[in-house]
Amino acid sequence: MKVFVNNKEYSAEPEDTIIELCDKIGVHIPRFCYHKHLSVVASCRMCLVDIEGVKHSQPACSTPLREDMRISTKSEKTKVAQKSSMEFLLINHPLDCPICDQAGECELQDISLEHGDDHSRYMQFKRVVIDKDISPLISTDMTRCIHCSRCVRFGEEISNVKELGLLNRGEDMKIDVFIESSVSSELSGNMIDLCPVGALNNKPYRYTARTWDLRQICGISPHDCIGSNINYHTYNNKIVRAVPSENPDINQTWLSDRDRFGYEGIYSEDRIKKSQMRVDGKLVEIDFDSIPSQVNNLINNNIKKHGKEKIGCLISGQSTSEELFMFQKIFKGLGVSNIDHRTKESNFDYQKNYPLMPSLGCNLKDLDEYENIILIGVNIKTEYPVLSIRLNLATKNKTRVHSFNFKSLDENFDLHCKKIIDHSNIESFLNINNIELDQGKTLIIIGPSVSRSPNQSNILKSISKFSLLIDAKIGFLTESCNSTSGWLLGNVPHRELGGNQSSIIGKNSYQMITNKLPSYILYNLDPEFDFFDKSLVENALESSECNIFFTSYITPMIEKYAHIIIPITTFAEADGSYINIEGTYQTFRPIVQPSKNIYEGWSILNKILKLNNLGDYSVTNIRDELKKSLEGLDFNIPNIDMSNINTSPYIENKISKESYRETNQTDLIVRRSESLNQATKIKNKLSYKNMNNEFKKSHIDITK
Amino acid sequence: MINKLCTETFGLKNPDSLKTYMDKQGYQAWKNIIIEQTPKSKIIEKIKESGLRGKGGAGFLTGLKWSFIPLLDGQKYLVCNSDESEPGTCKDRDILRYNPHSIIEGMLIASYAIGASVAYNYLRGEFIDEQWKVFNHALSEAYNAKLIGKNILSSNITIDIHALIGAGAYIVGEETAMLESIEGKRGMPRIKPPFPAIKGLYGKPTIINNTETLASIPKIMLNKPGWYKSLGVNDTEGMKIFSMSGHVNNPGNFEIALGTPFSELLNLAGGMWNGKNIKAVIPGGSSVPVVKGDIMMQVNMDYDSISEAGSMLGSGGVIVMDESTCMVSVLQRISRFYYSESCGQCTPCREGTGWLYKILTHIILGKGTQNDLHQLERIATQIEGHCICALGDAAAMPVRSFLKNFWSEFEYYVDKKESMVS
Repeated sequence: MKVFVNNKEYSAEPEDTIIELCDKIGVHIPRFCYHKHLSVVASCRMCLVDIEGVKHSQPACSTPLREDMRISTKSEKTKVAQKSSMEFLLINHPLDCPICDQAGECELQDISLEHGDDHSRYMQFKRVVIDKDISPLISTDMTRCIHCSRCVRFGEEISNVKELGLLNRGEDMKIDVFIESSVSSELSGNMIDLCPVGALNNKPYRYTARTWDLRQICGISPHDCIGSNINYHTYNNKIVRAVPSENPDINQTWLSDRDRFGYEGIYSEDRIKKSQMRVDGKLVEIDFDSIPSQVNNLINNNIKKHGKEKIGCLISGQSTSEELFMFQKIFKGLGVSNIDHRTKESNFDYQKNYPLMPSLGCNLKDLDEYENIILIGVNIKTEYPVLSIRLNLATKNKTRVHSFNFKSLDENFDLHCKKIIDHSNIESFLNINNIELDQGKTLIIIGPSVSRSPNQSNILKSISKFSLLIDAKIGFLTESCNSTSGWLLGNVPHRELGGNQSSIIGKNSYQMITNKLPSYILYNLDPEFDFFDKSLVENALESSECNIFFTSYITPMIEKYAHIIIPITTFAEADGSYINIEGTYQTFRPIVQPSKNIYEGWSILNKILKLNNLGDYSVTNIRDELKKSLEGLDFNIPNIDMSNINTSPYIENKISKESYRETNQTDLIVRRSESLNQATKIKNKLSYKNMNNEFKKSHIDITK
Repeated sequence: MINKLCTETFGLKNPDSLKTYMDKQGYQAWKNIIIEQTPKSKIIEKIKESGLRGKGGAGFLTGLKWSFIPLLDGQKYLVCNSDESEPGTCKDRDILRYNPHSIIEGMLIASYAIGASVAYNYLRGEFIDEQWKVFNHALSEAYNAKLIGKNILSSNITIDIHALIGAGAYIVGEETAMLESIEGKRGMPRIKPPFPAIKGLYGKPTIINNTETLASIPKIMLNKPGWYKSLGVNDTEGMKIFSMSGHVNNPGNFEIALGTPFSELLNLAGGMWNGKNIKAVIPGGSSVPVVKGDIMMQVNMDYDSISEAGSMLGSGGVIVMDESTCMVSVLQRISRFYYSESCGQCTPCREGTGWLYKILTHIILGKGTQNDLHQLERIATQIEGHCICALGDAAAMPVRSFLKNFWSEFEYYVDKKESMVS
């Protein structure tokens, strides 16, 4: 189709609107209410453009293109229309940019520079709106609101949690909540980004820096296996906030609150500042210089004393691929095969038949191509919030989502069916007669609650049988952001780098803990939270002779049982890379410099590696080798067969508290994020059950 | 007055009862359609031919509107717009009160013609005390007589009519805002296109007609082609109810032939109050431009001649003002109405209506300046044509016309800090 913009001819897609075309060809049209991922309301009237043959200027966001349409974005008529909308928007908007956090990145400020007047003709009183405390994460200045309703539409269309709404009408219209502090969805922070003005702002970041003083560095989310792209903003070598970095294949323009506020964890008070060693029963600080050789001696002495099979090496799946690579390089090089990253699991009968690596089975953006998605043992809303956006849009398209969990859980999107399953009845439950499937493709997504179950292998076997029966694909959502690397890079006791079978099969994490080995190496793990059973870990650490902790944080258990503590960087202070669940390999640079005595994890491991003459790597070397071993891998495995796993009998199991985790409990960094903890606290207070109780308390029973 | 359309049962005993309506050939047209199984296209053709125009304000040809509905099968809806809120207009109120069956019959015929099986009558919230009850009673009478519902008169035709009551927002009288309100959402106009005839209520093709339009339909169907056209005088077609209010001796609703001179209408309303001189007339509800009295006396009450006089026929709410009226106060009052009734969705209307009202209040309080008058004119121009719906225009048009016709009076007020007339 042929159209003319400012007298220049362009070919256009017939289904596009004027603004979509202009965005493609690089002609700027000012806008406030329009957002490419939200529905069109054409209410701000800022994008009015002049169309030849049409009496009044038309909104570019809602006007479809016509053959031979002649659009003018610069004509006098367009200018007058846009200028008058601008004037109307500004009459009630406070001109307090110097004290507004949005200044510098405010769309209203930018556009008014071009379309606004240098003085106001409005002499009357301005509107004032009284603010409510809507959330611990979002600060409000509703007097600044220009009623674009992006935040309202986000709740209605994207997150499917209607938190903000329009109240009143006309000039008194305001965006508000009904109950204070009730904005508590796992995606609420996106409304901060969507707000074109300073009405909704980032509360923890408020008044810490001016936007033009910030440095922006792109990072990858370390909190879930989706691998959202994040722009971290730093001020004086400190992360002050995080905003989404657009990636249409992964997180689009969205970010979960966990990704947005999780970084606070790296400034937690229990961060270790210097290496420590136990001398005469007490931990004393030591210089880093002697650390690699000390650690190396400890490891080698233990191997000599007790044998290679008597050392337990555990690493977190949240570690970067570089760290995972170096970790297995050292220990497999020393002949140790007790190496594992699956610390939350307790049943490993499945591991021999497990695919090369856990994978979603399809690309994130293709989820809406499935007619049926069966979720087993996962709460998308709390553990993978960004994914809930994809699933919400998929359900609005054609997808039916079934949710089978060990307890009743709500999701942000519409569930076709929600059932509670039991560990023992899953086989009989997964039956075609029980599940109302639509004609078409089916994807079964197995979540981390299955892997946390002591009957994991039995469940996987049943699911696999069922998937073969209905010809469904199996996908996984993993415990940590980099579990995929954990598998692929040989951080499992039975496989080598690249996924080849090991000749010697070592102990898995559960065996390592229950067998009470004489020495343990824990890398980036929180012994209190990151294991299947806290008391078993405590017993194991207590009876061990030597516990080496590579960690960023000190916990009571580490303090009590550590023989040596080596502080390592977090995701924000090191070069690193993650492989997400669809197999995208993403690298990132250090966002801030670590403090003086903390070194990058992989470089400490490299020093130990060098001492053992097992090699010497730089980040580039590691990545080259990584890529070599990952070459030609297909993450879109058509069908996974785990139906012939040899399983041990069912274990009676009560659903422990750990089986499902709150959004602020999933890893050791978010557990330390002040704002997220605050938000969760308020959210739980506002739960239906509590509100009901409050209500009962405040009302006298008239029947008495 | 010889011919009566919508006002036929007015003044009779029990005007709202089914029996009274039946006595006046009520439901005859509907029964004929049912018995003859008249093709839908034939009905639409007849309405088109009659030249019936929408009586809610815009005056769009009803038959043409109906013909926009897609011919495909599937759910379609008819909505009767009884959210009559335009200041100065009170015709639908009386039709609902005294002749509800004509609306029901009109809705049935229209639903049949467009292929809708469900029709809604949306009444304004303020009608809850009387019209709502009367209409619902009439509806149950018609249901009992098997004129509506399943298998109407054993004919396999099913049409259900539901009455709905609004919550008091003027803006819901805008057709797409009404659809939003019926769906249970905030009453805010939708962006067009798509037009309701393609994508309306619940996303299905929908026709929205005014109460008076639908009430006129039974008689048009009953009579020969050309009958409705012949009702008009002075080269115009059809009839219209005018609601006379303001400084007249006998205010009320008058159903007259289109094309009747305004002077005649004024006489029907008993002439000017206290014998004073006529100063200005708003001929079609408060949102249309005001016309000076002497010009209005030369005008015929039809679409074209009122348009020539610089105004619009609108909804037929004629507000007559005598020489003692302060035009500044009138404009301030009108502006306040649009200020408080703006839905708040789009910027020019949300911010502009408030600005207009605030400046006018400023002037009334004696704080106005010459500049404020130019300011008013400029703001009104900035609102006009830049909004989603017509409310912005409705707020802007009176301001511009009042200033244009009575500039000296506004100037006087600004200079002397008091009204020219008091």
